Amino acid sequence: MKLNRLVFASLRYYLTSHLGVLAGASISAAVLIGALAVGDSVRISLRNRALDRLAGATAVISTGDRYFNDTLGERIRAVQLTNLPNLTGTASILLELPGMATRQDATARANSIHVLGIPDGFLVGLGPIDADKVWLNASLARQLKAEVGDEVVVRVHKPTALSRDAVISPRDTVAVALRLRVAGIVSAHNGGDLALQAGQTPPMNAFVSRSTLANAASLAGRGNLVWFRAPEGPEDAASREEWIDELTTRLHAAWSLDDAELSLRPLTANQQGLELTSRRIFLDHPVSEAALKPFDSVSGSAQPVLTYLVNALIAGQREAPYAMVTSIGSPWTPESLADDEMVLNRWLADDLRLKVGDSLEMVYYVADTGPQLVERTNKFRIRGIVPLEGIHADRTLMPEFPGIAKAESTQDWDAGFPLVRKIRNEDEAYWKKWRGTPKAFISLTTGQKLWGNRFGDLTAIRWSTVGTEKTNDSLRLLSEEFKARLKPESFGLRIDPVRTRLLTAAAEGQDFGGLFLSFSFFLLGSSLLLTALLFRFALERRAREMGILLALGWTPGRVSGLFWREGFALAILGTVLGSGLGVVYARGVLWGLATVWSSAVARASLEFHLTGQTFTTGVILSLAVAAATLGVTLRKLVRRTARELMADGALDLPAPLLQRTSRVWTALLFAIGLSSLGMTSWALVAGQKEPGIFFGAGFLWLLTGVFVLRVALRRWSHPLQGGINSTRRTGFMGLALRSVTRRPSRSLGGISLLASAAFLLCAVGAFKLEESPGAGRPESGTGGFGLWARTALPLLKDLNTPEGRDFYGISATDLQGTSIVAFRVHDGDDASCLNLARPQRPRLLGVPAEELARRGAFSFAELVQSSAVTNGWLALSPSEREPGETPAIGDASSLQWILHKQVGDTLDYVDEQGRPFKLRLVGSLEGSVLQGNLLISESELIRRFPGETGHREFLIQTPQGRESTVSATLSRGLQDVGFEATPTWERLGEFNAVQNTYLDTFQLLGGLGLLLGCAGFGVIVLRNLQERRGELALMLAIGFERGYLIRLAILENGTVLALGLGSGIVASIVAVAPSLRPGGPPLPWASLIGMMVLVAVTGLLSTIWAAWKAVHERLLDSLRDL
Amino acid sequence: MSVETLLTLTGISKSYPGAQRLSILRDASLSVSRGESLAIVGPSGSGKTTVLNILGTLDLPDSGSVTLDGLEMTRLSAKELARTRNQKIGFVFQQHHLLPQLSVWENVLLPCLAFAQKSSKPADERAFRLLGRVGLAERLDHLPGQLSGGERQRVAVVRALIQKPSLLLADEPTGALDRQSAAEVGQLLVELNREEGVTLITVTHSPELAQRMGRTVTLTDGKLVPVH
Repeated sequence: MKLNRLVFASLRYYLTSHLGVLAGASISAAVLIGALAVGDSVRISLRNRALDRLAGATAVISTGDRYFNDTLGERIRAVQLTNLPNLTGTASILLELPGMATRQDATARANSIHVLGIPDGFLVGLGPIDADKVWLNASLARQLKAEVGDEVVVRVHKPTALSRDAVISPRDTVAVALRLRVAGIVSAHNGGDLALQAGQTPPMNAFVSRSTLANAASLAGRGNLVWFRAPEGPEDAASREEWIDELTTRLHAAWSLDDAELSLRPLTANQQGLELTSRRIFLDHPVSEAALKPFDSVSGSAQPVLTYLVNALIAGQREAPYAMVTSIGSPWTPESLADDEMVLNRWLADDLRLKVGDSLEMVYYVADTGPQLVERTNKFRIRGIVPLEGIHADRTLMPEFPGIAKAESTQDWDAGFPLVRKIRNEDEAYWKKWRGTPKAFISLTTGQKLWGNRFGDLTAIRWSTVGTEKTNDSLRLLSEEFKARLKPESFGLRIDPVRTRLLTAAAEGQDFGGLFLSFSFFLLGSSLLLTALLFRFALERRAREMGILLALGWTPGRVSGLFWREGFALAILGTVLGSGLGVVYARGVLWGLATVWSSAVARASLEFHLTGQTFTTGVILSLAVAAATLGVTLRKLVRRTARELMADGALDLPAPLLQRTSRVWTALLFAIGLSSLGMTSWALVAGQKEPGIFFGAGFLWLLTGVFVLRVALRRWSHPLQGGINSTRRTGFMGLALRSVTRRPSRSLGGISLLASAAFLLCAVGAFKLEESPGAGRPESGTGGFGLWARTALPLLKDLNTPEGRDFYGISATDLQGTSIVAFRVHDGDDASCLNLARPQRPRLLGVPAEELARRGAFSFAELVQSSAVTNGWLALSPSEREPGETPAIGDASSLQWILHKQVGDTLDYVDEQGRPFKLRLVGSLEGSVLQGNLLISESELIRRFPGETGHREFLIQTPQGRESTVSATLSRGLQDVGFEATPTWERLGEFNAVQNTYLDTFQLLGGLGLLLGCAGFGVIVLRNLQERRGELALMLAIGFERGYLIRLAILENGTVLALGLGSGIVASIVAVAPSLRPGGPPLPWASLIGMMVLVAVTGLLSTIWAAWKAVHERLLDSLRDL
Repeated sequence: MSVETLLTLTGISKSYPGAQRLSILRDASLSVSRGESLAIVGPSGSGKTTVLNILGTLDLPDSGSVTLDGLEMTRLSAKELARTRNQKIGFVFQQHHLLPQLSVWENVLLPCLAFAQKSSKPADERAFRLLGRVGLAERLDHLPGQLSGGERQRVAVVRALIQKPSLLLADEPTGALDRQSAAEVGQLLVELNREEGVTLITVTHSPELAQRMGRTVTLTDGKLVPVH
């Protein structure tokens, strides 16, 4: 006979009593494998969403509001380098513009959509798109309730060459509307959810023909997105990296000045030479710096030019409105022209009746003051008057100011600011004849000082050449030499390894496996405890068997090995059964995440996935946990001697009560008791709000309670110590309590389980966040603002001013008492808890730090220690920053849980010109409505990302109770920019709902665990009573009624139940103390009380069942065994 | 012919903790020869089973020495004691203590699983012979639950002898049996003592069984006193 034969025979013989063990092991395996499967499901679903977003892309070039020549893709593909043949894979040019959409009948609206101009065949299943057709992705179609054939109006942001933040930029053509018919719905799988940011919520995309979109937005021949798809082949990271390196090399070879919206061209006026200009009007600073250095290809130095539209030139009572003034050096102005000197052309001198030596005032708007108009006046002395001819009659000195350059008449000007000064006939005549020919000239340094701005401080650079042929040669050579000095990255032309970025974000996202494993802690613990208990009971019933084996000369190790094999076989069987149950459990959790817990995953769509690797890990883990549990249970039993194991009732004897051990426990009890008392008193007296402190104090109370009961039970279990087992106490209560102390460790186990479960389930309620905290309090998460709002297109005017309101046609009375704090936005990943993927480049908000500081808005959780500022917002001011670093503030929860960063850490970013820089986290806000963003000062955002135009996010303070009126007024007035407002408490509630839903989940799964624990408790009761069959039978024999015995059993086990739940609840009251104070976060009393009642009822019912069952067995038979 | 001593107890004392320490054995001594049969008798609670447990290495004395086959038992490690118990001592208890999940054949061979053995053939042959000897050759595949009390006890006796022990300890082997079965088992033990050459020590209340033994000692005041 072999040992395994013995194991098999035992398994078969004791199958019935092993069923409970099997069930416990199955449940623990199900919980483990299920939780891991949830992790797999979320991770793979996120990966699939990322792949949907990529639409096959390996890398992209995304230039935002810079528009390259749409042949860039072809040029990159066709680069001929010695070691590189034509590029494998594809490069498609797209034009992406922000926009919004409405149904034709205006019954549905979608703000913040992406309008994508795509080339033919870009997406699977989409042939050429007709000019009047649009394809919608599923989420946009759903939002618009649109079907194929429906008509929708798509309004897209119409970019301008010059940033709309510049004063001289048209305001009235921010968006252009396209009336289109829905040609079809693009599924996510076919690229419908294409996006560059990581996240699980599908974007809203509208796909139109690129040419249609480009024509509508006056961007014919331009694109701002190159979509690179690597060839099919090896998926390994190394080959993909190699491919991306190749792309970068090709980009550097293929890009042209035109892709940077630069133009180097021969001068066409009555002078020879070359001129560098930009579609963006102002030359970017890196361009100016590179261009002003000497070149080999052209002789002589470069001539920088800065021309600006001034509001007026005034001499006494005479005024010439709206004139071009050029700041330039010799020969347009004398070499020695002083900063306060000006050269006029004859027309202006005559118009203002000025002569050399006279003075005049120049009035102008500061070029870059955002939505505010700041007018300044400077005084000049007339240094000279030049005839309106030759170089001074050069109308090309005026750049192609949008809204002005192409106007036939001054009446058609859209200057970007209100033309409030009277334009006279002679002004109109000058425009018709001379267009933008400057009327005056000042020195370059003066012009740059007055009109230089974040976009640049030159409008052109000129080089003189001799002869047409020479000019053409020079053009080619200069172009090459100039390009070599520039980096394409400075113009947003950089390869973004988007596939790696998005897949990394998905892979490093929230670990739902770990999360649900911890949520299922009690369920797992209860099932393991049940497994251990049932196994122990089964073993105890076979104690004699162990004894006989020991008596027969088996070593304890051999005996242990035999039973362990039996237990391990059960663990294997349990795991096999549990794997199937685990799938059911995981599907159940996913169903929960799709329905009742959808707030936790921001309503992401999750599919069930379970990889072989995870399954194997789960199985091994389940086996290990079950085997270890059974091993520990077994170890305790085989420590007994053969004699003890074979003797009747030997296992019932209490462990000896050692004086020394008893003193240690008593001392420990006093220490913990004093600590809990001290910690609670301190927390209450010091007015602590931190829930963690109260949780800690409550936990100490729980320990104290359990220790008190331990000492008491141990003491009472010894008759010789004068405990309640003394024969002196024989009443109903005495009998019950004697039974409670009969097996003190078993009773204490039950009490500890119930107490800790009740404590944790109640106490975690203290971590619940208020879903609608008082919006009026500035220090609250709402910052004291009533509304949070955003727009799809930037808002260019300040709505706090009458001009701003007038511009958007908003009645001042409707906004009475309302103030608006506007934020600039640099798009990036959502870093809030609503994003399951790990953000790689969080979205940046440029905030008016001084304004927020003045308002005392929000509360800081932490500030960097080196910061000497008193108000956290002032830590954002540039004076506080380290060289090369931008100070930033984040939401405390986002930093900790989503970004895994802490105050003092840095994040790497790349600015608009491709230069890397670091964001230094200088502080964190307590749960705020601004969660999801990193906050930097507005001036820093402008400095790092000068192209970001206007404001797109807002906090609005409204008079009490007028939130909805203000929201409606603004939504109406700003519908063309896609304005949508949400009450701040509602938005904050969305964030808080995530944490609260997690806690709900924990409480629900914990509750299930507790119920399972109650079932285990019933088993203990039954086992206790079965062990005492003889005792019960004797009581029946001597005249006790069965009802009395049932009541006795209920009383003794009810005592354990009451002690357990009572200790846990008392301790949890300390833990939730902050919620009991007036104004504290609310507790879900109903669910907590309901759960405790359910647990108590389940425990009592299981006790009644066990007692009834035990008392109604053939008890009298057992008298023979007494 | 000289008689070889198999087992010696010298100056054994044993007491158990309690409200007042309960002294069971006080300087008890005993010498048993190889092949001898001995009955230990005495009133309930006198310490008969304690003596048997000490002889069988299931318990250790507080003082004194126990020598079996020249080996001092009190100096052996737990593992050596287990091996000694397995190889040199056989136990028969008042209750048969057969494993209910195993057949007669498997129960008998249970001691052979205590330590890995190269071949099971000798044990199988011996089990077959002994079970035939006790009249259970036809019941090899029966479970204990399918046997009578006497039959179960006979299986327990065979299990005790399977490893060819030099010492067979029986603790009230007939205490749980009816008169006829008790007589049969008693007779069997005596016969096997003779046939197998195993030394038999039995603790019993039964005068009939004690009379069958070659020698009887009684436990009086914690000492083993010969009964003449």
